[in-house]
Amino acid sequence: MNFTFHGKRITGCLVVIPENEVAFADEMENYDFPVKNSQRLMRGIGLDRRRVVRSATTCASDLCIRGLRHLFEQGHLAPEDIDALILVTETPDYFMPPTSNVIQGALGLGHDTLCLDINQGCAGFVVGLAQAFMLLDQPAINKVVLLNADTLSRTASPKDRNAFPLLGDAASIVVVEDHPSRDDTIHASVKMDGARHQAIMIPAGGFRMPTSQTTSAPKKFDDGNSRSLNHYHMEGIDVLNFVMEDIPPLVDALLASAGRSKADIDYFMFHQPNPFMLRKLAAEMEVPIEKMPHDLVSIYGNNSSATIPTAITHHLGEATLTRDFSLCLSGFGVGLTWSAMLLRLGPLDFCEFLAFKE
Amino acid sequence: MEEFLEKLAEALDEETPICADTVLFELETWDSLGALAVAAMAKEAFGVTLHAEDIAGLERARDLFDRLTRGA
Repeated sequence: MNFTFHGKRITGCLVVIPENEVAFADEMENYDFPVKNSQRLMRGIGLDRRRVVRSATTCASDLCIRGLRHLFEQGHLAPEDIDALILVTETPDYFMPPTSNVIQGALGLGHDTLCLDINQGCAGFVVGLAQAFMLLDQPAINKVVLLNADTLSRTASPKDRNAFPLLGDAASIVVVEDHPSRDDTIHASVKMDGARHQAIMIPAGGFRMPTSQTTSAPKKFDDGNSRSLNHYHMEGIDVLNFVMEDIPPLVDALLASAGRSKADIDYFMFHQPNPFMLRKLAAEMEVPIEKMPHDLVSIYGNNSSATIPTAITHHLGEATLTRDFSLCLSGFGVGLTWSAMLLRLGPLDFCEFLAFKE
Repeated sequence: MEEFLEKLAEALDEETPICADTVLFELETWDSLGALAVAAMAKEAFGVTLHAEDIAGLERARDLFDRLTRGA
């Protein structure tokens, strides 16, 4: 599905990152693998440190609320100006009510604030932006706050070396507004393939397979990792194949439909599965690796749909306050869902990190 | 075959020489990272998609070569 949007822009970006940092090197003894083998994996994949919540009850919504309060205090955002609140998350507070409503209530936002939860992961920043731009076509909606927040670190088994050392936590808060004088068109494309939904999933805990003693029992697999059906699971090789097969043609087709070429793009701000996979992807796409930031997992971990705002804030940060960048965004993951967007970003009113203390 | 063996050693970052009869799971580098690297190499150099079960079912280097040259 292709989209085009006119007269919209991102005006600010705050990324809330847990203060708590953990290092893979300190955890190697926890896995059922020789330390020497984990060190090889660390070098090859590009694992190092990551930011995760400390408490087993800290939620994605806590990061969002802290960040929104910070924006109110700094005068970057006024509560009464928020016409819609979109939360993209896979780690909601509850099955019901929607977590965006919980956030609205905690902040005392008005009853006319439209609250929407979207269940998407690594492709979810572009999906959320596309939804925000669509809402802005309504005359009553002038400002949308897009929240991309997850605590994926709480979903994986600490004995699953294919997932646990990759996952981080974060919330990004992006303000999206109408900007009628902006003449550049934003192009986006979103594709989905539910036939491959088992490649990344948490099998138990929903209504299809409620948690039970059976689903909670850890099982050791032939690959040496242990996890239960309640845990996050990713088929690493299937995901690699998916990324290498489906992302290059998605981006090529989007560039072609926009009449642009790769040389017109300042940065390919992509989702961050790990440095290994992004290096392979850049090579496959024939994009210079300097134009594709790929080191975020080594610093923050893969924080789900917040990876693209995290990459933008980490690599461009203050530079976005004074100039604009031609960006190609792309996310890919759970669903399976893959998405891409071409847009000019900046000058922004703010683009910064906030440390989340527990 | 020679070219394939070189690519395999490079993908795995394996220091000991690999020949057609090398038993893959006896290599120190035939681990989860090795499986990812081999899947990426299969895609890049041969245009072949390997799944986890394909890789798990391989015994010797020549089996992988046969799998890759047989096509997708």
